[in-house]
Amino acid sequence: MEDRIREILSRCARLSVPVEALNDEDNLYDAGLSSLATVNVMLAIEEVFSVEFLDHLLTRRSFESISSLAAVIASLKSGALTF
Amino acid sequence: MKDFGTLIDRARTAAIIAAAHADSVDIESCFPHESLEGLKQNRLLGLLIPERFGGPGATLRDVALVCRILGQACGSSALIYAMHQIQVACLVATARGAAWQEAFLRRANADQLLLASVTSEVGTGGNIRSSLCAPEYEGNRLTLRKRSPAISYGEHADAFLVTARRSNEAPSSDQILIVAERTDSALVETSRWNALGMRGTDSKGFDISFSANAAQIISVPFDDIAQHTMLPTSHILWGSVWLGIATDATEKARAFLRNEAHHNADALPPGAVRLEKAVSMLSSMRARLDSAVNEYLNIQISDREALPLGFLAEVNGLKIAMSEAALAAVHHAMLICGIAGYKYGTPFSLGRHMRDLHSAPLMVNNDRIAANTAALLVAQRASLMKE
Repeated sequence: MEDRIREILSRCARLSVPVEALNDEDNLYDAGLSSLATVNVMLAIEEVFSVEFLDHLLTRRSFESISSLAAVIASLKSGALTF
Repeated sequence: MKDFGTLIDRARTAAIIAAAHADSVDIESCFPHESLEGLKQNRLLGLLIPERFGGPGATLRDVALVCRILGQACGSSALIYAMHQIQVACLVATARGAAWQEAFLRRANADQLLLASVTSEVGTGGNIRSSLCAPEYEGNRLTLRKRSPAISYGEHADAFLVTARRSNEAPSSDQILIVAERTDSALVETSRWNALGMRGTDSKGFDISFSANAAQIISVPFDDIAQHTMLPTSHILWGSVWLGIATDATEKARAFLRNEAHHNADALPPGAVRLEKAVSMLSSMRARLDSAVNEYLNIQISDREALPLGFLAEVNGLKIAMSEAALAAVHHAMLICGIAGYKYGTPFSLGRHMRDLHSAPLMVNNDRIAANTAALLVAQRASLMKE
Protein backbone atom coordinates (compact mmCIF):
# COMPACT_ATOMS: atom_id res chain seq x y z
CA MET A 1 0.00 0.00 0.00
CA GLU A 2 2.86 2.39 0.87
CA ASP A 3 4.25 2.09 -2.67
CA ARG A 4 0.95 3.14 -4.18
CA ILE A 5 0.76 6.07 -1.72
CA ARG A 6 4.27 7.07 -2.80
CA GLU A 7 3.18 6.95 -6.43
CA ILE A 8 0.22 9.23 -5.61
CA LEU A 9 2.44 11.64 -3.68
CA SER A 10 4.95 11.94 -6.50
CA ARG A 11 2.08 12.59 -8.93
CA CYS A 12 -0.14 14.98 -6.88
CA ALA A 13 1.55 16.33 -3.76
CA ARG A 14 3.92 18.79 -5.44
CA LEU A 15 6.57 18.14 -2.79
CA SER A 16 9.89 19.77 -3.41
CA VAL A 17 11.69 16.74 -1.98
CA PRO A 18 11.75 13.53 -4.08
CA VAL A 19 9.35 11.02 -2.55
CA GLU A 20 12.10 8.37 -2.61
CA ALA A 21 14.05 10.50 -0.12
CA LEU A 22 11.23 10.26 2.44
CA ASN A 23 10.76 7.63 5.13
CA ASP A 24 7.25 6.40 5.87
CA GLU A 25 7.27 8.38 9.13
CA ASP A 26 8.61 11.66 7.72
CA ASN A 27 6.35 14.69 8.04
CA LEU A 28 4.86 15.53 4.64
CA TYR A 29 4.06 19.14 5.60
CA ASP A 30 7.75 19.65 6.37
CA ALA A 31 8.45 18.20 2.92
CA GLY A 32 6.32 20.94 1.39
CA LEU A 33 2.78 19.53 1.32
CA SER A 34 0.36 22.48 1.12
CA SER A 35 -3.29 22.43 2.11
CA LEU A 36 -4.38 22.73 -1.50
CA ALA A 37 -2.18 19.85 -2.61
CA THR A 38 -3.72 17.85 0.26
CA VAL A 39 -7.03 18.02 -1.57
CA ASN A 40 -5.47 16.55 -4.72
CA VAL A 41 -3.79 13.78 -2.73
CA MET A 42 -7.09 12.93 -1.08
CA LEU A 43 -8.97 12.70 -4.38
CA ALA A 44 -6.24 10.49 -5.89
CA ILE A 45 -6.32 8.16 -2.87
CA GLU A 46 -10.09 7.81 -3.22
CA GLU A 47 -9.68 6.85 -6.87
CA VAL A 48 -6.75 4.45 -6.46
CA PHE A 49 -8.02 2.66 -3.32
CA SER A 50 -11.76 2.88 -4.07
CA VAL A 51 -12.51 4.48 -0.72
CA GLU A 52 -14.38 7.61 0.30
CA PHE A 53 -12.91 9.89 2.97
CA LEU A 54 -15.19 10.67 5.88
CA ASP A 55 -15.48 14.24 7.12
CA HIS A 56 -13.81 13.55 10.47
CA LEU A 57 -10.73 12.12 8.72
CA LEU A 58 -10.08 15.35 6.80
CA THR A 59 -7.44 16.55 9.26
CA ARG A 60 -3.80 17.51 9.06
CA ARG A 61 -3.07 14.42 11.14
CA SER A 62 -4.38 12.07 8.40
CA PHE A 63 -2.04 13.56 5.82
CA GLU A 64 0.98 13.95 8.07
CA SER A 65 3.05 11.02 6.75
CA ILE A 66 2.96 8.03 4.44
CA SER A 67 2.24 5.76 7.39
CA SER A 68 -0.61 7.96 8.70
CA LEU A 69 -2.16 7.85 5.23
CA ALA A 70 -1.77 4.07 5.13
CA ALA A 71 -3.53 3.80 8.50
CA VAL A 72 -6.40 6.03 7.34
CA ILE A 73 -6.83 4.04 4.11
CA ALA A 74 -6.78 0.75 6.05
CA SER A 75 -9.47 2.04 8.41
CA LEU A 76 -11.61 3.28 5.52
CA LYS A 77 -11.27 -0.09 3.75
CA SER A 78 -12.21 -2.09 6.82
CA GLY A 79 -15.07 0.34 7.50
CA ALA A 80 -16.34 -0.14 3.95
CA LEU A 81 -16.68 -3.89 4.57
CA THR A 82 -18.92 -3.41 7.58
CA PHE A 83 -21.47 -1.29 5.69
CA MET B 1 -7.16 54.53 29.20
CA LYS B 2 -8.82 57.71 27.99
CA ASP B 3 -12.38 57.23 26.81
CA PHE B 4 -12.40 57.81 23.09
CA GLY B 5 -16.15 57.42 22.65
CA THR B 6 -17.93 54.57 20.99
CA LEU B 7 -16.26 52.68 18.23
CA ILE B 8 -18.70 53.87 15.59
CA ASP B 9 -18.22 57.52 16.59
CA ARG B 10 -14.46 57.12 16.41
CA ALA B 11 -14.68 55.41 13.03
CA ARG B 12 -16.95 58.17 11.73
CA THR B 13 -14.59 60.86 12.97
CA ALA B 14 -11.72 59.18 11.11
CA ALA B 15 -13.95 58.70 8.05
CA ILE B 16 -14.78 62.43 7.88
CA ILE B 17 -11.06 63.20 7.69
CA ALA B 18 -10.53 60.48 5.06
CA ALA B 19 -13.47 61.74 2.97
CA ALA B 20 -12.12 65.30 2.95
CA HIS B 21 -8.91 64.11 1.28
CA ALA B 22 -10.25 61.22 -0.83
CA ASP B 23 -10.32 63.11 -4.13
CA SER B 24 -6.89 64.67 -3.80
CA VAL B 25 -5.38 61.33 -2.70
CA ASP B 26 -6.93 59.77 -5.82
CA ILE B 27 -5.93 62.53 -8.24
CA GLU B 28 -2.37 62.84 -6.98
CA SER B 29 -1.96 59.08 -6.34
CA CYS B 30 -0.46 59.80 -2.94
CA PHE B 31 -0.59 58.05 0.41
CA PRO B 32 -3.43 59.38 2.64
CA HIS B 33 -1.31 60.81 5.47
CA GLU B 34 -4.26 62.72 6.96
CA SER B 35 -6.40 59.55 7.06
CA LEU B 36 -3.65 57.65 8.85
CA GLU B 37 -3.33 60.44 11.42
CA GLY B 38 -7.10 60.33 11.93
CA LEU B 39 -6.99 56.57 12.47
CA LYS B 40 -4.17 56.94 14.99
CA GLN B 41 -5.81 59.82 16.87
CA ASN B 42 -8.94 57.73 17.22
CA ARG B 43 -6.92 54.72 18.38
CA LEU B 44 -8.27 52.51 15.60
CA LEU B 45 -5.05 50.74 14.50
CA GLY B 46 -4.70 48.42 17.50
CA LEU B 47 -8.38 47.43 17.79
CA LEU B 48 -7.82 43.68 17.39
CA ILE B 49 -5.08 43.48 20.00
CA PRO B 50 -6.41 41.57 23.02
CA GLU B 51 -6.57 43.06 26.51
CA ARG B 52 -3.88 40.63 27.70
CA PHE B 53 -1.47 42.42 25.35
CA GLY B 54 -2.69 45.86 26.41
CA GLY B 55 -5.14 46.36 23.52
CA PRO B 56 -8.91 46.99 23.47
CA GLY B 57 -9.68 43.41 22.34
CA ALA B 58 -12.19 44.23 19.62
CA THR B 59 -13.47 41.43 17.39
CA LEU B 60 -13.19 40.98 13.65
CA ARG B 61 -16.84 42.05 13.48
CA ASP B 62 -15.93 45.46 14.96
CA VAL B 63 -13.03 45.90 12.56
CA ALA B 64 -15.20 44.88 9.60
CA LEU B 65 -17.62 47.64 10.58
CA VAL B 66 -14.80 50.21 10.71
CA CYS B 67 -13.66 49.06 7.24
CA ARG B 68 -17.17 49.58 5.92
CA ILE B 69 -17.44 53.08 7.40
CA LEU B 70 -14.03 54.03 5.98
CA GLY B 71 -14.94 52.48 2.62
CA GLN B 72 -17.80 54.97 2.37
CA ALA B 73 -15.26 57.78 2.73
CA CYS B 74 -12.09 56.80 0.86
CA GLY B 75 -11.44 53.42 -0.77
CA SER B 76 -7.65 53.68 -0.49
CA SER B 77 -7.71 54.62 3.21
CA ALA B 78 -10.15 51.80 3.92
CA LEU B 79 -8.08 49.22 2.04
CA ILE B 80 -4.88 50.31 3.80
CA TYR B 81 -6.69 49.97 7.13
CA ALA B 82 -8.00 46.50 6.16
CA MET B 83 -4.56 45.28 5.00
CA HIS B 84 -3.03 46.53 8.26
CA GLN B 85 -5.65 44.74 10.37
CA ILE B 86 -5.03 41.47 8.48
CA GLN B 87 -1.39 41.64 9.62
CA VAL B 88 -2.47 42.38 13.19
CA ALA B 89 -4.86 39.42 13.09
CA CYS B 90 -2.05 37.07 11.97
CA LEU B 91 0.14 38.26 14.86
CA VAL B 92 -2.63 38.03 17.44
CA ALA B 93 -3.53 34.50 16.32
CA THR B 94 0.04 33.25 16.82
CA ALA B 95 1.54 35.43 19.57
CA ARG B 96 0.49 33.47 22.65
CA GLY B 97 3.61 32.32 24.50
CA ALA B 98 5.98 34.11 22.09
CA ALA B 99 7.67 36.82 24.16
CA TRP B 100 8.92 38.95 21.25
CA GLN B 101 5.53 38.98 19.49
CA GLU B 102 3.65 39.72 22.73
CA ALA B 103 5.91 42.69 23.45
CA PHE B 104 5.59 43.86 19.86
CA LEU B 105 1.79 43.78 20.02
CA ARG B 106 1.86 45.88 23.20
CA ARG B 107 4.00 48.42 21.39
CA ALA B 108 1.86 48.22 18.23
CA ASN B 109 -1.17 49.33 20.24
CA ALA B 110 0.61 51.88 22.43
CA ASP B 111 2.34 53.56 19.48
CA GLN B 112 -0.43 52.82 16.92
CA LEU B 113 2.06 51.16 14.55
CA LEU B 114 1.11 50.58 10.90
CA LEU B 115 1.92 47.06 9.64
CA ALA B 116 2.40 46.12 5.99
CA SER B 117 2.50 42.78 4.21
CA VAL B 118 5.39 41.53 2.09
CA THR B 119 4.00 38.32 0.62
CA SER B 120 4.36 38.82 -3.12
CA GLU B 121 7.74 38.05 -4.67
CA VAL B 122 9.23 38.44 -8.12
CA GLY B 123 9.38 35.00 -9.77
CA THR B 124 6.57 33.19 -7.94
CA GLY B 125 3.88 33.94 -10.51
CA GLY B 126 1.61 35.72 -8.04
CA ASN B 127 1.30 32.67 -5.79
CA ILE B 128 1.82 33.91 -2.24
CA ARG B 129 1.99 30.33 -0.95
CA SER B 130 5.39 29.96 -2.50
CA SER B 131 8.66 31.77 -1.65
CA LEU B 132 12.09 31.91 -3.26
CA CYS B 133 14.04 34.02 -0.76
CA ALA B 134 15.42 32.39 2.40
CA PRO B 135 17.07 33.96 5.44
CA GLU B 136 20.81 33.76 6.10
CA TYR B 137 21.33 32.78 9.73
CA GLU B 138 24.23 33.85 11.91
CA GLY B 139 23.94 32.91 15.56
CA ASN B 140 20.50 34.08 16.66
CA ARG B 141 20.34 36.81 13.99
CA LEU B 142 19.04 36.52 10.48
CA THR B 143 19.15 38.68 7.38
CA LEU B 144 16.80 38.49 4.40
CA ARG B 145 16.59 40.16 1.04
CA LYS B 146 13.35 39.92 -0.91
CA ARG B 147 12.33 41.35 -4.26
CA SER B 148 8.66 42.27 -4.02
CA PRO B 149 6.69 43.55 -7.05
CA ALA B 150 4.32 45.45 -4.73
CA ILE B 151 4.37 46.43 -1.07
CA SER B 152 1.27 48.47 -0.33
CA TYR B 153 2.14 51.63 1.68
CA GLY B 154 5.64 50.13 2.07
CA GLU B 155 7.26 53.53 2.54
CA HIS B 156 4.82 54.47 5.27
CA ALA B 157 4.70 51.31 7.41
CA ASP B 158 6.37 50.89 10.80
CA ALA B 159 6.85 47.12 10.42
CA PHE B 160 6.46 44.37 7.82
CA LEU B 161 5.26 40.79 7.93
CA VAL B 162 7.48 39.05 5.38
CA THR B 163 7.15 35.51 4.00
CA ALA B 164 10.25 33.49 3.13
CA ARG B 165 11.40 29.90 2.73
CA ARG B 166 12.41 28.42 6.06
CA SER B 167 16.02 27.92 4.87
CA ASN B 168 18.05 27.57 1.72
CA GLU B 169 17.38 23.81 1.73
CA ALA B 170 13.60 24.11 2.27
CA PRO B 171 11.06 23.65 -0.56
CA SER B 172 9.34 26.80 -1.85
CA SER B 173 6.11 25.85 -0.05
CA ASP B 174 7.77 25.51 3.39
CA GLN B 175 7.25 29.14 4.35
CA ILE B 176 7.79 31.15 7.50
CA LEU B 177 6.49 34.59 8.44
CA ILE B 178 8.96 37.09 9.93
CA VAL B 179 8.19 40.41 11.63
CA ALA B 180 10.65 43.00 10.32
CA GLU B 181 10.94 46.43 11.89
CA ARG B 182 11.21 49.47 9.68
CA THR B 183 14.27 50.65 11.64
CA ASP B 184 16.07 47.39 10.73
CA SER B 185 14.98 47.48 7.07
CA ALA B 186 16.19 49.11 3.87
CA LEU B 187 13.83 49.59 0.93
CA VAL B 188 14.98 50.27 -2.61
CA GLU B 189 12.17 51.30 -4.95
CA THR B 190 11.95 49.18 -8.12
CA SER B 191 8.62 50.30 -9.61
CA ARG B 192 6.15 53.18 -9.37
CA TRP B 193 2.48 52.97 -8.40
CA ASN B 194 0.33 54.70 -11.00
CA ALA B 195 -2.80 52.56 -11.21
CA LEU B 196 -6.42 52.69 -12.35
CA GLY B 197 -7.75 52.79 -8.78
CA MET B 198 -6.82 52.40 -5.11
CA ARG B 199 -4.23 55.03 -6.00
CA GLY B 200 -3.59 56.06 -2.40
CA THR B 201 -2.36 52.60 -1.37
CA ASP B 202 1.00 53.60 -2.87
CA SER B 203 1.82 49.96 -3.74
CA LYS B 204 5.29 50.42 -5.20
CA GLY B 205 7.72 47.59 -5.94
CA PHE B 206 10.68 47.32 -3.60
CA ASP B 207 13.80 45.32 -2.87
CA ILE B 208 13.56 44.96 0.88
CA SER B 209 16.52 43.92 3.04
CA PHE B 210 16.39 43.58 6.79
CA SER B 211 18.02 41.98 9.79
CA ALA B 212 16.07 40.48 12.66
CA ASN B 213 16.37 38.38 15.76
CA ALA B 214 15.43 34.72 15.22
CA ALA B 215 12.66 35.30 17.78
CA GLN B 216 10.95 37.54 15.21
CA ILE B 217 10.08 34.43 13.16
CA ILE B 218 6.51 33.42 13.95
CA SER B 219 6.65 29.84 15.22
CA VAL B 220 3.45 28.72 13.42
CA PRO B 221 4.13 27.71 9.77
CA PHE B 222 2.82 30.21 7.21
CA ASP B 223 0.63 27.55 5.54
CA ASP B 224 -1.29 27.30 8.82
CA ILE B 225 -1.47 31.09 9.35
CA ALA B 226 -2.60 31.58 5.76
CA GLN B 227 -5.51 29.20 5.88
CA HIS B 228 -6.68 29.84 9.44
CA THR B 229 -6.22 33.60 9.66
CA MET B 230 -4.83 35.49 6.67
CA LEU B 231 -7.18 34.16 4.01
CA PRO B 232 -10.46 34.43 5.98
CA THR B 233 -9.66 37.85 7.50
CA SER B 234 -8.52 39.19 4.11
CA HIS B 235 -11.69 38.16 2.36
CA ILE B 236 -13.90 39.43 5.17
CA LEU B 237 -12.18 42.81 5.55
CA TRP B 238 -11.71 43.43 1.82
CA GLY B 239 -15.38 42.59 1.35
CA SER B 240 -16.26 45.12 4.05
CA VAL B 241 -14.27 47.83 2.27
CA TRP B 242 -15.99 47.04 -1.04
CA LEU B 243 -19.41 47.10 0.62
CA GLY B 244 -18.55 50.55 2.00
CA ILE B 245 -17.58 51.88 -1.43
CA ALA B 246 -20.69 50.40 -3.06
CA THR B 247 -22.85 51.86 -0.27
CA ASP B 248 -21.49 55.37 -0.84
CA ALA B 249 -22.08 55.07 -4.59
CA THR B 250 -25.66 53.92 -3.99
CA GLU B 251 -26.22 56.80 -1.55
CA LYS B 252 -25.11 59.20 -4.28
CA ALA B 253 -27.56 57.60 -6.72
CA ARG B 254 -30.36 57.97 -4.17
CA ALA B 255 -29.45 61.62 -3.57
CA PHE B 256 -29.49 62.17 -7.33
CA LEU B 257 -32.99 60.68 -7.63
CA ARG B 258 -34.26 62.68 -4.66
CA ASN B 259 -32.94 65.81 -6.29
CA GLU B 260 -34.70 64.94 -9.53
CA ALA B 261 -37.92 64.16 -7.67
CA HIS B 262 -37.90 67.61 -6.10
CA HIS B 263 -37.84 69.14 -9.56
CA ASN B 264 -40.34 66.78 -11.13
CA ALA B 265 -42.16 64.45 -8.75
CA ASP B 266 -44.34 62.96 -11.52
CA ALA B 267 -41.64 61.30 -13.53
CA LEU B 268 -38.42 59.92 -12.04
CA PRO B 269 -35.60 59.35 -14.55
CA PRO B 270 -35.69 55.97 -16.30
CA GLY B 271 -32.74 54.70 -14.27
CA ALA B 272 -34.73 54.98 -11.03
CA VAL B 273 -35.80 51.33 -11.05
CA ARG B 274 -32.14 50.43 -10.64
CA LEU B 275 -32.08 51.89 -7.14
CA GLU B 276 -34.01 48.89 -5.89
CA LYS B 277 -31.49 46.55 -7.52
CA ALA B 278 -28.48 48.38 -6.09
CA VAL B 279 -29.94 48.53 -2.56
CA SER B 280 -30.90 44.88 -2.74
CA MET B 281 -27.32 44.02 -3.68
CA LEU B 282 -26.00 45.94 -0.68
CA SER B 283 -28.41 43.99 1.48
CA SER B 284 -27.22 40.62 0.12
CA MET B 285 -23.60 41.65 0.56
CA ARG B 286 -24.22 42.65 4.17
CA ALA B 287 -25.97 39.37 4.97
CA ARG B 288 -23.28 37.24 3.40
CA LEU B 289 -20.56 39.18 5.18
CA ASP B 290 -22.31 38.84 8.56
CA SER B 291 -22.68 35.10 8.02
CA ALA B 292 -18.97 34.68 7.19
CA VAL B 293 -17.91 36.76 10.21
CA ASN B 294 -20.10 34.65 12.51
CA GLU B 295 -18.66 31.44 11.09
CA TYR B 296 -15.10 32.78 11.48
CA LEU B 297 -15.65 33.78 15.12
CA ASN B 298 -17.13 30.34 15.87
CA ILE B 299 -14.46 28.32 14.08
CA GLN B 300 -11.73 29.96 16.19
CA ILE B 301 -12.43 27.69 19.10
CA SER B 302 -12.74 24.47 17.12
CA ASP B 303 -10.05 21.91 16.27
CA ARG B 304 -7.19 23.59 14.42
CA GLU B 305 -6.11 20.16 13.15
CA ALA B 306 -9.22 19.83 11.02
CA LEU B 307 -8.87 20.99 7.41
CA PRO B 308 -11.60 23.66 7.23
CA LEU B 309 -12.50 22.87 3.63
CA GLY B 310 -16.10 24.05 3.84
CA PHE B 311 -15.18 27.29 5.58
CA LEU B 312 -12.39 28.07 3.13
CA ALA B 313 -14.78 27.46 0.26
CA GLU B 314 -17.27 29.80 1.98
CA VAL B 315 -14.83 32.70 2.44
CA ASN B 316 -13.46 32.22 -1.08
CA GLY B 317 -17.00 32.38 -2.43
CA LEU B 318 -17.55 35.46 -0.28
CA LYS B 319 -14.59 37.25 -1.88
CA ILE B 320 -15.74 36.50 -5.42
CA ALA B 321 -19.35 37.40 -4.71
CA MET B 322 -18.52 40.64 -2.85
CA SER B 323 -16.14 41.87 -5.55
CA GLU B 324 -18.67 41.20 -8.30
CA ALA B 325 -21.69 42.59 -6.44
CA ALA B 326 -19.92 45.79 -5.40
CA LEU B 327 -18.97 46.55 -9.01
CA ALA B 328 -22.47 45.72 -10.19
CA ALA B 329 -24.02 48.04 -7.59
CA VAL B 330 -21.79 50.95 -8.68
CA HIS B 331 -22.70 50.20 -12.28
CA HIS B 332 -26.38 50.59 -11.36
CA ALA B 333 -25.57 53.82 -9.53
CA MET B 334 -23.75 55.14 -12.61
CA LEU B 335 -26.74 54.41 -14.85
CA ILE B 336 -29.02 56.16 -12.36
CA CYS B 337 -26.86 59.30 -12.17
CA GLY B 338 -25.99 59.30 -15.88
CA ILE B 339 -23.61 62.00 -17.01
CA ALA B 340 -23.56 63.54 -13.50
CA GLY B 341 -22.02 60.32 -12.26
CA TYR B 342 -19.68 59.95 -15.19
CA LYS B 343 -18.22 63.45 -14.83
CA TYR B 344 -15.71 64.40 -12.18
CA GLY B 345 -16.47 67.33 -9.90
CA THR B 346 -20.23 66.87 -9.44
CA PRO B 347 -21.87 65.83 -6.12
CA PHE B 348 -22.68 62.52 -7.86
CA SER B 349 -19.27 61.66 -9.38
CA LEU B 350 -18.69 57.91 -9.33
CA GLY B 351 -15.45 57.56 -11.28
CA ARG B 352 -13.28 56.99 -8.21
CA HIS B 353 -15.68 54.41 -6.77
CA MET B 354 -15.77 52.47 -10.01
CA ARG B 355 -12.01 52.59 -10.55
CA ASP B 356 -11.28 51.60 -6.94
CA LEU B 357 -13.64 48.63 -7.17
CA HIS B 358 -12.04 47.33 -10.35
CA SER B 359 -9.16 46.23 -8.10
CA ALA B 360 -11.49 43.86 -6.24
CA PRO B 361 -11.73 40.96 -8.72
CA LEU B 362 -7.97 40.97 -9.29
CA MET B 363 -6.41 41.42 -5.88
CA VAL B 364 -5.88 37.68 -5.78
CA ASN B 365 -7.47 36.95 -9.12
CA ASN B 366 -11.07 35.72 -8.90
CA ASP B 367 -10.36 33.04 -11.52
CA ARG B 368 -7.52 31.61 -9.43
CA ILE B 369 -9.74 31.64 -6.34
CA ALA B 370 -12.63 30.02 -8.21
CA ALA B 371 -10.41 27.15 -9.42
CA ASN B 372 -9.13 26.52 -5.87
CA THR B 373 -12.63 26.73 -4.47
CA ALA B 374 -13.98 24.19 -6.95
CA ALA B 375 -11.33 21.72 -5.72
CA LEU B 376 -12.24 22.44 -2.09
CA LEU B 377 -15.93 21.93 -2.78
CA VAL B 378 -15.33 18.63 -4.57
CA ALA B 379 -13.21 17.42 -1.65
CA GLN B 380 -15.56 18.65 1.07
CA ARG B 381 -17.64 15.88 2.64
CA ALA B 382 -20.08 17.86 4.77
CA SER B 383 -23.50 18.61 3.31
CA LEU B 384 -23.77 21.77 1.22
CA MET B 385 -26.99 22.54 3.06
CA LYS B 386 -25.66 24.03 6.28
CA GLU B 387 -27.72 23.02 9.29
